[in-house]
Amino acid sequence: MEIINKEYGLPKEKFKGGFETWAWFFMRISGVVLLFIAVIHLLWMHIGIQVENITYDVVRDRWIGPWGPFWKTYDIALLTFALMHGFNGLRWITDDYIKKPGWNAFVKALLLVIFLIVIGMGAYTVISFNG
Amino acid sequence: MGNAISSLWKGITYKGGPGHYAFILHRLTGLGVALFVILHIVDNFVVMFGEDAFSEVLHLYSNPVMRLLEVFLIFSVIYHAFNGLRVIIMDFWAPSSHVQRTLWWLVWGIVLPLSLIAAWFTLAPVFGLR
Ligand code: HEM
Ligand code: HEM
Repeated sequence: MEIINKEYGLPKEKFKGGFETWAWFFMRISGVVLLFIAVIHLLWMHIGIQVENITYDVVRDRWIGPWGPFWKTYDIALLTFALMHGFNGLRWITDDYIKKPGWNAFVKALLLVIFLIVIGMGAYTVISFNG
Repeated sequence: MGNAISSLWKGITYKGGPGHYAFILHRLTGLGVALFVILHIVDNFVVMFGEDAFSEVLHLYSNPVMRLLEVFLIFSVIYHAFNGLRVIIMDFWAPSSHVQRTLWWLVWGIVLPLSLIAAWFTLAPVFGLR
């Protein structure tokens, strides 16, 4: 597929295939998915349920009520896409501002560790919650 | 580290026109939302410690200052989402400059009303308005 305008993202000369091109496409695909699932999650919490009504019981109902399997699947998708998209974005920002090779590698290693801990915690919460 | 701060400052003060501000705002909102998501997974993890612990966390969020920050978060997610869609459209399609301008205003035409409605539902109870 031809890229006509490349508004944001990697400089053209880096755009030659391999991992970075794949990452660039992944940001577009996950962006479109998040446009639905993240925005609906946010609007549902604020305009649908309304934040002052959120309680432990509301969350328990969503996760182990009749629609439990649906919301658990939804939340796992949200967790995976938001974290992969968000941490790849943080990696790009790191490359733009932290140029010293040692610091650059250190910050990216730290990001990877935080990513693994947080996705583990999130998946554990959604999967093992049973009231 | 000094380098990082000076190149960040150059990025912010660079006079690149509206496209550049759109990019800076896209980056700042993306960064903000990513940091929130980390916090959000930690706050959700607390449900595993039972009802009392989780109520405590929800109570922290009901503070007026937190509700105000939440409005920033709402705006950030919605701006990043619709500006992101504009970026994706522009990557694969070369519209006339007239259409480009329309797209840009369309982003704000969606982002502002949607953010204001969600902000109303978030803040009104804090001020006893609903
Ligand atoms: C809701 C729908 C979303 C859409 C349509 C979207 C779209 C995009 C696009 C197209 C980019 C690439 C920009 C570039 O090439 O530089 C991007 C970057 C980014 N996104 Fe998103 N995104 C969405 C949600 C999110 C969420 C939920 C987060 C946080 C978890 C996030 C965090 C980021 C970050 C940190 C960047 C890097 C910014 C940069 O390089 O300046 N995005 N987004
Ligand atoms: C302040 C605004 C928000 C509120 C009040 C809120 C509320 C909630 C609540 C009550 C849950 C519990 C599960 C459920 O009922 O489905 C949840 C889960 C979740 N939310 Fe949000 N949310 C907000 C913003 C966001 C945003 C912007 C994102 C990501 C882009 C997000 C991502 C998630 C994820 C991934 C989960 C599953 C958590 C886990 O794995 O433990 N939320 N949210």
